[in-house]
Amino acid sequence: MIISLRDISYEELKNKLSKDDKILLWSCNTCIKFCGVGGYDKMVLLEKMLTADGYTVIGKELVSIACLYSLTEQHQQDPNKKELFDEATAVISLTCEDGYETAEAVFKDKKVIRVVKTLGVGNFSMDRGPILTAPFEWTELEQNDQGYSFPEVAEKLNLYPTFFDRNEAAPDSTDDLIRITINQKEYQVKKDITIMQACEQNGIKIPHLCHESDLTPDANCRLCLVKVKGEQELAPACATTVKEGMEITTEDEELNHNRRILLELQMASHEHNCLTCHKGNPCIAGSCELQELIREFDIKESRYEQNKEKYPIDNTSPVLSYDPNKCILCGRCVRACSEIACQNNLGFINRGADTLVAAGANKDFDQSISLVHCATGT
Amino acid sequence: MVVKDLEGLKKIKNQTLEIQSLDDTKNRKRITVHMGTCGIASGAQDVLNTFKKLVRESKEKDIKIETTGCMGICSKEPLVTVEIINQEPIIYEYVNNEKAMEIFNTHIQEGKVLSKYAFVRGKESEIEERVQNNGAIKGQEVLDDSIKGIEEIPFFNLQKRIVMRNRGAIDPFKINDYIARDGYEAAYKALKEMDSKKIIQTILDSGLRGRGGAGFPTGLKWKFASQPQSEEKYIICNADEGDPGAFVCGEETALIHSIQGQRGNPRLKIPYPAEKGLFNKPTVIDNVETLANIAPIILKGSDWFTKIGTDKSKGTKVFSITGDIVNVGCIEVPIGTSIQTVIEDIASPMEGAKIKAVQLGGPSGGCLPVQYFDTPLDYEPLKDLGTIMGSGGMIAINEKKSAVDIARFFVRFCASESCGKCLPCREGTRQMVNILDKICSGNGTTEDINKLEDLALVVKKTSLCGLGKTASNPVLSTLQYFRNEYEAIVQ
Ligand SMILES: Cc1cc2nc3c(=O)[nH]c(=O)nc-3n(C[C@H](O)[C@H](O)[C@H](O)COP(=O)(O)O)c2cc1C
Ligand code: SF4
Ligand code: SF4
Ligand code: SF4
Ligand code: FES
Repeated sequence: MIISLRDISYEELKNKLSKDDKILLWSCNTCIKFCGVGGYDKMVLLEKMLTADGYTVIGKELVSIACLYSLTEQHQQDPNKKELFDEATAVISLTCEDGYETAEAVFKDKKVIRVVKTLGVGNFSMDRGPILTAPFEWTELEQNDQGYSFPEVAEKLNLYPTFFDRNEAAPDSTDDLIRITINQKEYQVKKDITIMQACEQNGIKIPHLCHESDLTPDANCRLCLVKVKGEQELAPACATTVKEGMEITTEDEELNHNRRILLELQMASHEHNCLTCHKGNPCIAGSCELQELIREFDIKESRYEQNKEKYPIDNTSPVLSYDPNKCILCGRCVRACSEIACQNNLGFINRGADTLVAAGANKDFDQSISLVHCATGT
Repeated sequence: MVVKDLEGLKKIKNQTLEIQSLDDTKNRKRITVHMGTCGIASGAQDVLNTFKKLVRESKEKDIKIETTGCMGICSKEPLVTVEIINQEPIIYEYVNNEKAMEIFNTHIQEGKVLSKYAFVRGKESEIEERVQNNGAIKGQEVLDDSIKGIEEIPFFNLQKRIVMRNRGAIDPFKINDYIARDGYEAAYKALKEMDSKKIIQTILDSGLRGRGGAGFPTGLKWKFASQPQSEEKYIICNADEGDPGAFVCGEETALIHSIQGQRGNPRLKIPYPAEKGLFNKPTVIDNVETLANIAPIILKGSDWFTKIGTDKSKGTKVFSITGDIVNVGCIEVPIGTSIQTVIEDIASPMEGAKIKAVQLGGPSGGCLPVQYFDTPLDYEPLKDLGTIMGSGGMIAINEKKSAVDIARFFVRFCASESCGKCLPCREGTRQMVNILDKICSGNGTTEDINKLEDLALVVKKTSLCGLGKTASNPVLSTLQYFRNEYEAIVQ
């Protein structure tokens, strides 16, 4: 993995922008994400800061591997995104320097802003986080098997070990705050966010499997359904926008009963040995979120008859193996493939309970999917 | 053919009427073969060929052969209408090649009616005129009054034809046939004499509600879609009728995906298609039956339309009736007509069959027992009883059939049609089938009944689109009204 650290301050970033700029945030979802300077969450944070300071951010675009010229071009030419790219005047590139240069070459007519310095090669350790093991010569750092941690590197080379700090920007203006009630308690939240986001920001957990903050909501797992006062039907928290005065119930006997039944249905769908499966252990690619929920709901076994049919495991990809027997069809990989990798390579085949994820017109899996997105680590 | 104004339209209309009318010189006789899908399936093509051959061989020059679509009463197909100038038309039922020859020889050539094969006298499109004239049309000789007049048959006289006003009367492949029956006059009026606001207001005032199932006010839908600014807007006519097939693709967002060349999966309704629909442009999706009401409303005005139907629901509804009945077919009745009227009078139960329930609304509808047959066919009253108007399917069920089997049949259908996107519908319908299989095989327990009911409710409450939300209806309604049948077969 390529190691990069931030080398400009928030002040310096603002100096490169003007208030008339239509800003597009551009980030890579690979190395830079593990260096803590990129990825979707970081774009959300930077968007908040810039907006609070009166800048106009018109969009956030996450790309799976930003140093690939052809991929960057594909994003730019995607008909669904064309308007956004045409409108933008400035692009802030939360990528390594290579990704920055690629962006500069593709977005020729725009101001492309670099945020990091790329220092060499390294890896990610569970206890120390990202470390730099093979620094470039110009850094004048010595090769070191143990690797340098980010605070060390930052001090030696006069860089910043972390992302921009929210407190450097103006506080959120109260104009776009609205009042909502969640589980009978009042909260002030920003308008235009989803119920899920409002709850996350206030430490309220809602079970979910198909939702991921960097993907468009698809609302297919139905676990996050909540009650909204005055609405006849349950609302998916991941896809419902908050409104002034909304009264939301995220948990009660009925909702939890629904969730329990849904989880048991999921368990019965294939031979998930969820209570013993090793995928429950956390690792860099995430752990099994279904297993976590099954533990949380204290489910010992499914009341429904288990589907015994076994689907063959697809090992045709050099980097991935797809095991339909563990797949919960949350569609995160499919959306990641189309929205982040810009490939439209994955899709669903068959109908009903025979539905499967498949690559390019029922061919085999290839590199298109971003395995960090899988809910079960399939 | 370019028509520039109303005059042009009228000209075509008059020319076509002229050609269609029987006269003493060239066209003294006409044979019309009803070539709907039902007719063709029962052999209408053969019958048509036979008549063509007979006319050719007879060398008579004054016989015309025409084709039209379905007459609505599919169980009597093949149907053939024989007309001779100045005489009453006779409709023959169950026509085959032999009968065709006999009809040709006896009726067409000798002018004698074959009452043993006759179904009725008169044409459906002339029922109102016949009623006004005591069961005849002025200037037409009545050949055999032992044959019933079409206006005397409950199947026909209890119907009210708005969207099906032209059935049996025009050849759907001939645009001039339609123009001859006032076709496109409403389009002319709307384009030349009304602006968009006035059109929307007329539809709002008419009280027309969507016939695709949900009954949403059509005018309101149009109003919503008229508000966003956009160079391009779309209207989609949802004619995905006939429930078997890719069932779920009739759901509006799935239909949009299909048109865009994507997998026919539904999506969340928000953003509404009226804001961002087909190719992300504001889009109105109306059912084909809904749209078929528009032209008559524009021509005759909203006041005329509001006189038909109930307080909350105006106009008529088309139903497809089948099951243990004599008159299988397609009917159009004023909204609010009772189930009783449709089953007893229009459909007419088969001899010896005691009807115990009716399954309404297509595969994801519900079963209503006979004690609710006085319920008006209308959106809300049906919903309150656990079923739906839906696509207008109506199946009469006799007392020998098991309600549990029926529930299993329909849940199986929904399970196989589920698009597989959301968990409750994808897995829940499969598990409902599993439990129903167990109960039907005699190995079920009371516990299984409760488990089934619980699951059905969760699937209903948590599914993403209308398919999953209604897939439980067959189970829940049979559990509500025929629980004893479940209890009788469990241990
Ligand atoms: C599973 C499912 C199948 C449907 N099939 C049809 C259909 O075949 N034809 C149709 O017009 N509407 C169908 N609908 C309803 C459409 O989603 C939509 O509501 C309708 O076309 C809107 O038109 P209306 O307002 O004129 O009824 C279906 C809905 C669901 C949930
Ligand atoms: S990976 Fe599959 S089997 Fe393993 S715990 Fe997760 S859901 Fe269960
Ligand atoms: S492979 Fe993983 S991410 Fe893709 S649908 Fe299956 S569970 Fe979801
Ligand atoms: S309810 Fe059924 S048909 Fe509708 S989206 Fe879910 S799985 Fe697909
Ligand atoms: S997280 Fe909202 S439906 Fe899956």
